[in-house]
Amino acid sequence: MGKKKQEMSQVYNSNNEFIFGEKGGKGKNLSTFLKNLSLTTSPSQPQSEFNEANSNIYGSLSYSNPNTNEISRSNPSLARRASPKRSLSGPTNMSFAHSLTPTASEALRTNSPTRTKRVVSAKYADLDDDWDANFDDARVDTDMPSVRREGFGNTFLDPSPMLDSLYPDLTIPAGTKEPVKDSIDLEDMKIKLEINKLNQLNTKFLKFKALLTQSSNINLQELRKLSWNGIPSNLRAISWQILLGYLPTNKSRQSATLKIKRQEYLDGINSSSLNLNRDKQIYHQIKIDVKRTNPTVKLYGHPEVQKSLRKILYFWAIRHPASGYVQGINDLVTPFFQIFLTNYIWQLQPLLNDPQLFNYNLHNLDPTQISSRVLSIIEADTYWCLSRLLETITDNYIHQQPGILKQVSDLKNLISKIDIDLIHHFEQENIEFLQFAFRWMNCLLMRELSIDLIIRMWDTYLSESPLGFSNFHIYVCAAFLIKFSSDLKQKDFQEIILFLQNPPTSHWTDKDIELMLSEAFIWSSLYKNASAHLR
Amino acid sequence: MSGRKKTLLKVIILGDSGVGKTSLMQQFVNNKFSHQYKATIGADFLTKDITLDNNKQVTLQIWDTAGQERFQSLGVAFYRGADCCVLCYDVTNEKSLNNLASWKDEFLVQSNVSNPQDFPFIIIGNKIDVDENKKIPSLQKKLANITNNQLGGLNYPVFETSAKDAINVEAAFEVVAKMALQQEELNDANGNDVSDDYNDAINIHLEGDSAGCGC
Repeated sequence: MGKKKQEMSQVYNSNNEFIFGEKGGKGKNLSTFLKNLSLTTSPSQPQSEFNEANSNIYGSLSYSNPNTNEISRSNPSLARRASPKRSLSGPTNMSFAHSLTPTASEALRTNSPTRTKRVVSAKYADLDDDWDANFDDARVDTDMPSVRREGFGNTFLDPSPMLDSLYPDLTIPAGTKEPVKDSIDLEDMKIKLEINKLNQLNTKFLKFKALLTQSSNINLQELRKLSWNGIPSNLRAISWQILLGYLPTNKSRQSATLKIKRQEYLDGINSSSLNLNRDKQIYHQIKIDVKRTNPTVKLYGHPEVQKSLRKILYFWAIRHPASGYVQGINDLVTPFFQIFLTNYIWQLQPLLNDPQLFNYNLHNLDPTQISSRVLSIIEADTYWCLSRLLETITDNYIHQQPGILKQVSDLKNLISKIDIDLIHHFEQENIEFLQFAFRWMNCLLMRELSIDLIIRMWDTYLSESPLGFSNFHIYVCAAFLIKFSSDLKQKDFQEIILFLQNPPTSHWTDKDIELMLSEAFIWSSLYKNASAHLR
Repeated sequence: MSGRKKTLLKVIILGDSGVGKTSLMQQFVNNKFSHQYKATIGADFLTKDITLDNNKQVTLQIWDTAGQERFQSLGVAFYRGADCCVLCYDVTNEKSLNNLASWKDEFLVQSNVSNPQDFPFIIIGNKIDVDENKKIPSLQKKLANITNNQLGGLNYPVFETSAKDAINVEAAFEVVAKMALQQEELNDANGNDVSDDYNDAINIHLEGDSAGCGC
């Protein structure tokens, strides 16, 4: 027994520090914060501590101090960072700080009686059954249209420090309009266009917000419907977890479920031991593959992140001996991991008066600043969500990979219905579908499309019922291939394979993905009931 | 028959996961080395035109395969019609050396080549740039043992390379190309079933005439 433990700690290069890390975060502000949340307090009561942490991390970490606004607002450097110009670049740096800012009394009211005592400092309160966050600031919605007509500059260009990049209107509480500080040209068409875009995003956000908060039981059908067209980045973590069935739709059960699942993961990690011969080989494979997972993204180069991925993958492999670990699963784990990680960071932003936090992204985030405990929670959620996904495609990874062979042959049959000329051309050039489409199935197109596009795609896959990773994915692959059909028909064997090895998607945006998903949807509707293509 | 068109030679690279198959291929084709290659899934495909000694132009079509055993069932799609097979191991990883024979057997089973006895294989031991003390102890002896006992005692060419430092990579693939060309000409001759104008450059005894396609 003792020996096994030793082995495990060698495997994970740790002394169980991923459970209840005493060291917490190294960053000053972060560690202060985490301590305040009692995530990293004394290890003497690990169990209760963990339970608390469990329920907190992904819940809305809301203010209990209304003055927090003032603190950040008074920091001009923050203001500049959060200016719209910078934030328009993309959804990766958003926070919806102000919209989540309840008054102290609101925070207390929302907390159940047993939770309120965990308001550990004057500054923070953590809500428990709180995936719903505190989207109480509905006032701003009604305020918006007129603001937009009259002079959006007031609102949008207000360099309020917590100004949210994508949902600026949400970030300005009603009645707190501030004087124009910048003399930016209000006629700037570019800005107008951006603002229209932001408003569309905002409408979408509000719909999600309503759906996720307004009822004690989230309407899954409705969530699927909304999510099919893309999920707002800052609600993606919770939405994915619900769509995957990891997080219950019944909000009163969410917190307890998370606690159980996260504990189960930890218990499993601690008790799993190396079965020397076979498992050693699995572990070796995982180790060398994690090293080369997204090698160009800095986050995945960090030893802490690699350790987390190894744990998740190894634990999954030994719990699923029929397939074990198969290369490519290391790719599939990354969307979950980074979504849950960034979700955590976003929730920190409004809470910490740390200008650095605004700058964190996947390329500069230092995971050593995250306590091992928080990391273990992110791991647990990642593990369970990955498991759910893989459940739908188990045949892809068992001996002989029959699932993939069938998918590839289904794809070929489908293409022969849609574009028989392409099939003829491929036949003439001796192209076999397996030669290029195997990877499409094994890695769910993650080698062909950037991670951001994949994440958008998964919004839709997760909204399909049954999940779209098996069947719907074939239609997406068909749409993907057809996109290049006319190019491919001009090419010979060598050129076709080289082209499909490295398809020109680097300039693709969400629009391209959405078009492809729509085409896939049309074909799935057309051919779903005509089972001929599934001979 | 020769000089009619560009000669296409199909080469398969096999070996355990992580021995450096992708790096070898990238070094040979693109003259570069990177630490940032992802694990190969299924097989990657690259081509390179080279000119052999006798001024013959050939195009190497190289399939760089995935090393994990789970993917072996895929072989049929990638191995068929191969003209040469490169068996790779890592000079710091004894297991990868011990697996050479099973890679060879797997290839012969799935490729269905017409002349399994004489099919051209070449052995590449990669990563010779690493510290001497990390290398497999008494490597030469073990390698000789394996070629004699498990690889049929045939004298397959052996190269020790460093994809990282570009040592011996070019030389190894030049031999690959020559061997592949011989095999290709042999297949051509048999496949077309015409009285070939090649003398017995390769001394073989064909079991049947079904050169190549076993589908």
